[in-house]
Amino acid sequence: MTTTAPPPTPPSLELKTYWCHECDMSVSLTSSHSPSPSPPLCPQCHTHFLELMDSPFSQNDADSFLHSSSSLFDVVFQDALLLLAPSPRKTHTTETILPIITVTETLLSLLDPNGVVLCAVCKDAISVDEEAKQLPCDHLYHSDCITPWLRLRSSCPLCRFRISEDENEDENDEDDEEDLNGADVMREMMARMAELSEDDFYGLRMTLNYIASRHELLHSNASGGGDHHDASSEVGGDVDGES
Amino acid sequence: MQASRARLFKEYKEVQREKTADPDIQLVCDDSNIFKWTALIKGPSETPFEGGIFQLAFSVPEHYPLQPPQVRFLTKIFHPNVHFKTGEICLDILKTAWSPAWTLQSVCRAIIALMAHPEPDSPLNCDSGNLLRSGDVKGYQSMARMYTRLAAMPKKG
Repeated sequence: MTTTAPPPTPPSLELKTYWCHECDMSVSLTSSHSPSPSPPLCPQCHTHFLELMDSPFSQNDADSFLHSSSSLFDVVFQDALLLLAPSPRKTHTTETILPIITVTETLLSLLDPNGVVLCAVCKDAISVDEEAKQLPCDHLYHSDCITPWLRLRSSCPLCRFRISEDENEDENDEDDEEDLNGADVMREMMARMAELSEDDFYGLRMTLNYIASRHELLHSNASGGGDHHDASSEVGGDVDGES
Repeated sequence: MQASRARLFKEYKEVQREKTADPDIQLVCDDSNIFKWTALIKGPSETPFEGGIFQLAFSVPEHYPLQPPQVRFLTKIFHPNVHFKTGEICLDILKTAWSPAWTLQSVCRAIIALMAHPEPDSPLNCDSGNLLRSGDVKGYQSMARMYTRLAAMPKKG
């Protein structure tokens, strides 16, 4: 039997797009549903290194994921991130060391020929008579803007200049201070978790408690402390009681 | 909260004013929520992402700019430092190296730089990282180009 007029789109033929890894380009091939399919061949380079590109990705399939991520997790993990920031104690002292100054016209014109200095935290101009802090690297910020940042990190937001601790701090045994910092972080995390427990989100507090107590256990073992910390013990008690 | 709002509004005005300043980045704030932004960035030239338009979603925390924004790729991308399924980005300035001097615009620039300079030693996409770590640059580029074509370019008829 012969057909005189073939249908415009034969149902047995399908146009498929492949990616040729040799040519680095997409190629369109017609594949037949015949019982003995031969592997597709790139019309450019005549190799078989082709990959079928038949999985259309939605541009927005990560969207639902993003919006479904609970704000609780954001809060907890952002908090944890901030608390685990290096040396929160040291920065607290540097924060109090840096004096609050009242901005003068002279200061502004010293920093900028036009006397326009932007606070890099709020991106607003710093004006005369406002309260500000000048870091040792000369960068100037609104006092209210830079102080919360210095509590987290003792570095300049613009140039990452590390603000040195005052000299008395340096005399302290570094290891001791590290341990205390660790304990402080733990205690503060426990306090935050205690706040969270008011609504006791999905047992999250339990999990974090467990992680925290494990962390504490490791911490005390690593610093040569005794084995008086039990992983199941109530946390929030005496965390800095290491001998 | 008030400080973050003020700062974001400042950035919004800056974006409106400097719309043509950086043709590779188009930042858009959600109509009803200033803490949600999306960005369209152009794949950098001379990379497998060239010619692609990639969509990013920003979720800005309450304590911004003391805390970094959370950024994800909404467009699929084959890159060692981007999670293939979730679009999560591994970039130091979005985590430990964050500074409040950064803006959403400069974060976009940093992500474009990351696209051009992947860090295969801290991979979120192990397949992609392993190709680069084993020295198969051609394989990495080919895969990345394929996914750019698949997900980041307008469909050809």
